[in-house]
Amino acid sequence: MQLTLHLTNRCNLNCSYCFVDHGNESMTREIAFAAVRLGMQGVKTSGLLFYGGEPLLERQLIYDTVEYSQSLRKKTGHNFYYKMTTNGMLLDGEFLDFAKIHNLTIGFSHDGPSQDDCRLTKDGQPTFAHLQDKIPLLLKYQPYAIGMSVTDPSTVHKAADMMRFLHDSGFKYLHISHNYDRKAPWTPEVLEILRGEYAKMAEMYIEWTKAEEKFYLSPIDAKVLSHLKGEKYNLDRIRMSMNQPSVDTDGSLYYSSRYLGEEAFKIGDVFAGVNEEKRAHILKYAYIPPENCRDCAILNRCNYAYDSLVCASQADTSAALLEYTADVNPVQCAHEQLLTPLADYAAETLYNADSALFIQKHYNELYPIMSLVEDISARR
Amino acid sequence: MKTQLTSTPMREYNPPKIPTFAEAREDSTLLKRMPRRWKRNTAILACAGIVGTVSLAGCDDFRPHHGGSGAAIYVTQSTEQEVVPFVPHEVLREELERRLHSGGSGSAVYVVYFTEQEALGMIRARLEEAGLRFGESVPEYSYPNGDEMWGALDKLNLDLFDSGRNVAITLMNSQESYPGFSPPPHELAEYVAEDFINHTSLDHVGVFYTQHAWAEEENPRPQLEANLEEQIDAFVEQLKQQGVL
Repeated sequence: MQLTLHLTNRCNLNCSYCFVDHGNESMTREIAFAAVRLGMQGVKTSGLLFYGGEPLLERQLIYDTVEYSQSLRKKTGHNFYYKMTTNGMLLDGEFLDFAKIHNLTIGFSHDGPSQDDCRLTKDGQPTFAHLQDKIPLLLKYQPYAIGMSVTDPSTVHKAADMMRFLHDSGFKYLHISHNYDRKAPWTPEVLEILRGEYAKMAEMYIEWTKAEEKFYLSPIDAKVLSHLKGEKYNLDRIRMSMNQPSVDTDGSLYYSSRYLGEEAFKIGDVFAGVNEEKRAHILKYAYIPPENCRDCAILNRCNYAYDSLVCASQADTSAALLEYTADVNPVQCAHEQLLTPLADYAAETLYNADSALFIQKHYNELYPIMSLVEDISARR
Repeated sequence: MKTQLTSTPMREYNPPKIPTFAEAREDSTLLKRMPRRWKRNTAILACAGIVGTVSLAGCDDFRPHHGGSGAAIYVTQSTEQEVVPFVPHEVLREELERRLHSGGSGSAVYVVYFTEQEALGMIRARLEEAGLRFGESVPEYSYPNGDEMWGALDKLNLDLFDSGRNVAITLMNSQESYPGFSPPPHELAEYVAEDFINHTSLDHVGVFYTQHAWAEEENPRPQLEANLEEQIDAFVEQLKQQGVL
């Protein structure tokens, strides 16, 4: 099981699209350690994802938790892997040394050309300049660190430039997501802008692949995969999601990060453990797409039709087993419909061009290893 | 004025004209296309030669290709939970682990010392020694009590069948025997056997699994083999008590 530990609600930035309710709560060592023990139950390896708020505000807690888990590893043989998502403001050589020792992978949030539009400090100061030296430092330690950007309607016209910025900065794993809050002013006109941005990304994808660069561009690569895997694509996503509960600062366990703080999705706490009956009950609903989506021609390729739930029991959310229903935000629905043909265009173009890298990357299950062998041989 | 958005399903969509994974497996020439850099890289070419053998041969007992250690690195990536075999190379393991953990929202690397093909070979040999006779055909039952909770089990099929004694055998792979939130594998194996018997015309079903072993354990293969042998012997004993053998 991989547990997402929300170490703190606190953050040193005030991003315009952030969904975290910035209180002043942080996780205690006792809760973090109990989470480590919980994650070990029934398996021989488990993951800890340090999340926030900004997790580096609780740097000592990360050190303590990793070291505690390593002490358990020595006693029991249980394996751990670690990840962290950070805004990078507090990233430094000391932490990266620690990350290197413990193989802690870092996801770095940066909006490139929109950084100073949306990702400001608490007192409204820009952050782009402060982070300029952090990116090369991170990539020196972790060449395959993950670069992550977010758009909202006000910055979506820079989406392709965000990905190009991360790419040109040296990131090889490029992720982009969008502020899907229902209050965000997405309109058909804004979505047309996003379509244009994805069209640019499709061309970038073709260009970089033809140049035989190694990279992962999340919207295109994930959508290509959805075609290759067919029905299995979403089944695997649900299975993955069910094994990634979230731990809030007070030790409460939630079905996944998406539902943090929602009582209806609380499935236990780190001391009492997982309420298996409730977790399994929620999971049953994850497999049922909304009625409106069942005849959709791209249902199997949609990232939102499954496992996007809301509680359908309005009155008493403390009841043991509640009713849930699938709920796809119209913006997400439109997003899938505009992205899928563009990803398919890129895939067809490269396949028809006999792009060896495209074929190896997508059809050779051993591609990661071939890629690694290549990197190692290049170092020698 | 702000335009309202609504969800409207796509009624028609033409999928891309590129093969799916299932279709690509039929094309043995597909992976012969190699990036230009790889063609100039002797390490990659050596690796590709072995990989080609493994991939195309369906990874049937690939120990001879790499000196008989019996270890293999199995890779799963979060975005693509295919389990794939590869030749072992301990030097690579840590690097590979680091690499794959960088691969997005979650991934893991397992070093597996005992492949499914090897395990199935051992099961077959020991059960035939005990008197079972496995034929070419196996009933096309898949696990009859597929439950989302136990994920991959809904794809579990039978591997061996003795039609004369109506005894079937299945080997759970690592995804099936170690799904999250499930009982320990030995208990799970009992449930699965019971479900097969209760929901099909099979009289006796042996459900086996191989334990996980981690790279930190020094030469765990003997222990893995011993554990599987215990399972097989217990099943033989059970068949004897039931008068089947």
